[in-house]
Amino acid sequence: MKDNRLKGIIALAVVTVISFGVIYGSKILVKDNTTNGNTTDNNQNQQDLPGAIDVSGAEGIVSARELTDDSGNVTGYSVVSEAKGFAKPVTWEIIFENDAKTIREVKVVSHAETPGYGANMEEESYLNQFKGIKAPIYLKGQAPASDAGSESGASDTTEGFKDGIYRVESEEMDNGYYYMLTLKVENGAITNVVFDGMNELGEYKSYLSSVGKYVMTEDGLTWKEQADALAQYVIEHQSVKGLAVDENGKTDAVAGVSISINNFLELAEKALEMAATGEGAQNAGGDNAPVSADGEFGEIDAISGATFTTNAILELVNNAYEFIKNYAGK
Amino acid sequence: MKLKVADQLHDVGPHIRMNRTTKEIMQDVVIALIPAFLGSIYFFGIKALILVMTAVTTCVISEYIWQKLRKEPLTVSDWSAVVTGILLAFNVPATTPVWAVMVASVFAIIVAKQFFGGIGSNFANPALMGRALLLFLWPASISGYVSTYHAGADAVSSATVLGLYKSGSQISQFSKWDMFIGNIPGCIGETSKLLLLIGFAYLCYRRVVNISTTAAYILTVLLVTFIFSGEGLFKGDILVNLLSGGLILGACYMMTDYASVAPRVKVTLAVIAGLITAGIRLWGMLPEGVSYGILAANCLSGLVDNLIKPHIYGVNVKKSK
Repeated sequence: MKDNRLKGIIALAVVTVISFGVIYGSKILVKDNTTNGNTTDNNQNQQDLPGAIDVSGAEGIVSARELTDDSGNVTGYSVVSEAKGFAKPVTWEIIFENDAKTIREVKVVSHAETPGYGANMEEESYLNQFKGIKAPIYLKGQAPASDAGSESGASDTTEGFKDGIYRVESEEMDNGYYYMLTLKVENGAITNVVFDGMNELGEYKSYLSSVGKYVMTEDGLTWKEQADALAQYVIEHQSVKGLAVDENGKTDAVAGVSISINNFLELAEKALEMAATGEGAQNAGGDNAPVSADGEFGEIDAISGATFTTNAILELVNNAYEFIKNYAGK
Repeated sequence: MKLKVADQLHDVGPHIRMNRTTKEIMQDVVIALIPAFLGSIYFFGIKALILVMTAVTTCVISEYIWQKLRKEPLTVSDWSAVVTGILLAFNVPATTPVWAVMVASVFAIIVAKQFFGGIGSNFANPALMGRALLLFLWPASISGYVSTYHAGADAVSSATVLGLYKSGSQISQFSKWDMFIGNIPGCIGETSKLLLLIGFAYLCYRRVVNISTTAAYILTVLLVTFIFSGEGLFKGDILVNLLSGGLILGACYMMTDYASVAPRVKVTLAVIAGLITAGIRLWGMLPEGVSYGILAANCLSGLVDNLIKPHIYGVNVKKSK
């Protein structure tokens, strides 16, 4: 029996070593295979298919092709487009009708978004809302007026800020969280500010605090309520100048706020600077989102708790639309 | 109700003893799991090592303390707690907090195993009970799946292949080869089917497991998902269902426990587990289903044992007219 085991162990060890050699070899052979966000194969597949469209030089466009019927008539277009999500690129395939404007269908090709948040993009109900709508797309209620906006996303106003959405995020983790702030300017005034943090697991601080998993004090405001209070202060004052802080980064300027606001201040000041110049502005359709020339556009719901993912989706769909519109000459 | 002595004797096993000891069997299982253990470290980094070591240590210490307090014979040296610890850690993703694994390990050993009489008497697989506890109490703690070849802070959250498949999303970014060797997001010990199968081959060689149970479970899952999981009947992707989740780990190492010894009972339970697993994958909220499928079959083992009476040697089943 013992001899039998020894033979088995030796065989097991040998086969295991060989297997690891195979596994390691396959890693070396397949480039860029270190994340599941790899789209090389998909890109290659698209380029190999009939009707492939040259996408060289088109930023964010992975591949594209014409869809044809048996007679060779173009029935639509397939565009694989990607944009930066929370951590890695989000890649979708967007299929347009032959008017190069109406979305027939969208499919998630790859992403590395957080389960329960950005990964909810995979839900059928979310994807179905794209069927039949016309590009460009905007979040519901955020489509610009037909004469508003510009190619850069920022528009001149009579007030101190330029219209648009300004997103900033911390470059380094602080006490286990990355922080992000989104500031929206309409008609020259700040109308919305969202401040949040995200940990390594992709959990939002606002969510954790609202469900009791991130507790500040037993009877005080939750972290989310304090973040909202800070945001409200900026909206009311259109500035952060009154937010004096002590050596611990705390302020007495906002009632109920006991958190250190250094991260908030740093990001808010950066966003306000951007808003003053219009630099880095996005309109409601994401980076460089096109404004519909014919006044037709689609509206979608945001993914709850996943601002970055939502913006990535807006960006990649609108990029795909811009690309295919220019290609089709429509 | 008082049981007759004969009934008591009938109900308490084992009745037939092999020359092989529990310790030898458990050592063989541990040896068989070593390739997948090394693979988990290779794919998911040092965190996989920490989780496995944490689970094993906690399981062994829990069993030791419990038996010391209860003044029971110590069975720590039979290696069963080590097996439970490894399998428990194999069933969680690399982002699982260490404390969660420790809590699950204590629950697996004390509640799922010792409360029911220890090894051989536990009604369900302790490792899967530990996982079920985490899924029930802290689902977020074991839902942070990460892509491979990342370690610690560099880990990138990712959906599992089964999750994408179930939602109808494209999974072309994951090749079948990657699924086979383990280069996909998932629980640390379930991703490399190649390494799991190598260990399973060792167990078969050592005659520790009966391949019919494993085969029955896998074939049932594949058959049902092949019929119903595609767009239309008989269009399901067999390889995705086989290679992308925890089916191989469950079939080779957790469906083959020793709770019931009658071969027909084992195969029947495997089919039941397969039906439940496939049902969860197809129509349930979760994309996986292996752990609940096996646990459900575990719970039904007593019933199936009673329904399928073994043939008594020396007695004619059919009465001649």
